[in-house]
Parts: sequence; structure tokens; C-alpha cells
Amino acid sequence: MNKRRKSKGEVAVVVVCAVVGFLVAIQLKSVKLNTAVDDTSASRLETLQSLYNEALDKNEGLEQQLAQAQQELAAYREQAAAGDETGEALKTEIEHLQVAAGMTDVTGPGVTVVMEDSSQTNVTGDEADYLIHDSDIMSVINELRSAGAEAVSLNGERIMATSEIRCTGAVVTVNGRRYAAPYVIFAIGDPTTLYNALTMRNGVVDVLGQWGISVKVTTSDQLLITKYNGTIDYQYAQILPPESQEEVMG
Amino acid sequence: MLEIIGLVAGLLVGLFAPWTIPSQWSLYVAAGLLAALDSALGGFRARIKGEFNLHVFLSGTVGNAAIAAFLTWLGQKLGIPLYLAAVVVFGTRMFQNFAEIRRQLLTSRQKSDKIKQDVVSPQPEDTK
Repeated sequence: MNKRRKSKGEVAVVVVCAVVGFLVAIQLKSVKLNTAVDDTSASRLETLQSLYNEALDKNEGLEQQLAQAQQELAAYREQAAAGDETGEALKTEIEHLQVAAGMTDVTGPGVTVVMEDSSQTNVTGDEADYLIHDSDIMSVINELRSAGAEAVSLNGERIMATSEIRCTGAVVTVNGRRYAAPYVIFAIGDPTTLYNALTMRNGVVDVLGQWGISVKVTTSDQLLITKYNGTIDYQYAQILPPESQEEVMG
Repeated sequence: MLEIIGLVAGLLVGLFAPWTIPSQWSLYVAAGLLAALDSALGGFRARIKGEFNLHVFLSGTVGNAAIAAFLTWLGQKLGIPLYLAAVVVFGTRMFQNFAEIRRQLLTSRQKSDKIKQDVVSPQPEDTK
């Protein structure tokens, strides 16, 4: 009787041991599989990335079409202005406004600003303190504009009156396109004034430098800032004729 | 010895079984696994010490696993990682069980050594 009991106990312990082994094996396998699933979603990410790139290519093609259409428009304009005194004046005004609006490529002296994420070791524990934010870029651009920059671009994207600079996760959206660090800002204007405006004590570069965010400012004699290569489409704003403008203001 | 054979058999069956656990159940299985591991060690210890009771063993195995799974579930509902309670308790008990098994095995060997010694030199008064 006693022996039978003992062997029963033995069997029970062995069975539990077997269950332990079984669970260990199954759990190990599952954990491994789940990591594999994570890898799969990484490859899914790659697929999406390539789709995104394709869309970008398509976008570029459409931009070329747009450029063509704009050229045609310019030709029509020239035709309309030919031989006409007031038309000539209008043409120069349009050209002037196009520079201000960011519709043409412009060159001139200015400064180049290169902003890079901090390489400092993280001591505050908050990773966000050491990354470049949309507000940092905006403060640099604001400073440049305040110092008389006439044309500004960020990573080749022309900054216009309607341009947004907005944080979208780890990247920044400008004119609806996403850009990641390092951020390269071109600004055309008086190089010395622009340089001094940025690098003054307690200025933008100084403050950002305290977080280890590297902001390199270099002056150059010749910068090329390309035009905005999208469409400007107004849906809600309407142009008021000059007479009614006075009425509204009065 | 048989215990290790059982463990290896379980491992092999688990490795070659076609099933895996969905990731949302992974935590429950881990908690149950800890309970089972604790029970296995506890059973081993009890058998070595000669105080094994089948009913105590079985109720402990099933009950502990159930409570561990229940704590995990409750923790997920409440937003507190309650399964940590199971981890801590079973973890501690595993160490305790191991310590007792170790002591039992070592002292039983010493005891048998001593018995041999006593047989060789029959002077009970001196050896004490």
C-alpha cells in the first residue's frame, strides 16, 4: 500500500516535470515566433516605404507637368504684354511679386544654417530635449527673416507665406513634404547681418547649443534657392476690387 | 532521475508539437509555468524529505497555477501588473525549495558517512 502510494507520487512529480518542460518549450517557441512576427511587420514597413517612394516619384512627374504649364502661362503673359506700356509695368510687378511669393528661383549672397540633433549624452532622461523640434527651426527662420532675409529654404523647400513647419513624429513637414535631420536652411540676404543675428549672445544658436544641438552657420557669396514646386490654390480667399477695399476698411 | 527524464520528454514534446501560444496568452502561460515549476521543485523536495502527500501536491499544483493565471487576468483588468505577485512568490519559493533540497541531499550524505564511520570505529562515546 505504502509503496503504491510512493510510486503514485513519483508519477505525479514526473508528470508535473513533463508539463513544466512542455510549457517551457512552447513558451520559448512562441516568444521566438512573436519576434519573427515583429520582423515581418518591419518588412511590411519596407513595403510601405517603397510605395511611398513610388508616390513621391509620381508626384515629381506631376510637378514637371506643372512646370511645363507654368512656362506656357509665362509665354502667354509675355504675348499679352508685348507692345503694351502698361502691360510692361505689370510684367515687372509680377516678376517682383513672384520673388516675394517664392515662385521663382533666386540667387544671391546669404547664409547656410545646418542643424543637427544633439550628440550629447542624455542626462535629463527626456530624449525629446536633445532633438530638433519644429519650434527650433521656426525660431531660426524667424530670426533670419527678422534680420532681413529675402528668400529662405529648408532642405531645398522654399519657405513661403503659406508654408508650414510642423512636427510630424520624428520628422518635420514643410509644404506638405517630410524632412528629417540634418536640416539645412538657406537664406538670401546680407550675410553679415544674418550671421550676427543668429550667433549673437543668448541668440538662437547659443540657446540651442546648450542642449548640444549643433547649429552651424556659414556665410556664402552665392546661394541658389529654388522656387516652390507645388501649386498655390486659393479656395476661400477672394480678391477684393480696390474700390470696395476702402469700404471694408472704413 | 525520473524527474529529469520527464522534463526532457516534456521539452521534446513541446518543441515538436505544432502549436504555439498567441502573444496575448503568453503572460498567462508564463505565470502558469512558474507555478508548475514551483510545484515540481516543491514535490521533489517533499519526496526527498519523505513528507510527500499526493493530495497536497496535486491541489497545490492545480491551485497555484489557477491563482497565478487569475492574478494575471485580474491585473490586466485592473491595469496593475499583479502577475508580479506570482513571480515574486514562486521565485522566492523556488530558492527556498532548492535550498532545502540541497541541504537534505548534503546532510543525508554526511549522515551516511557518519554511519559508516561509526561502524568502522565502534566508540560511540568519542565520536559524539
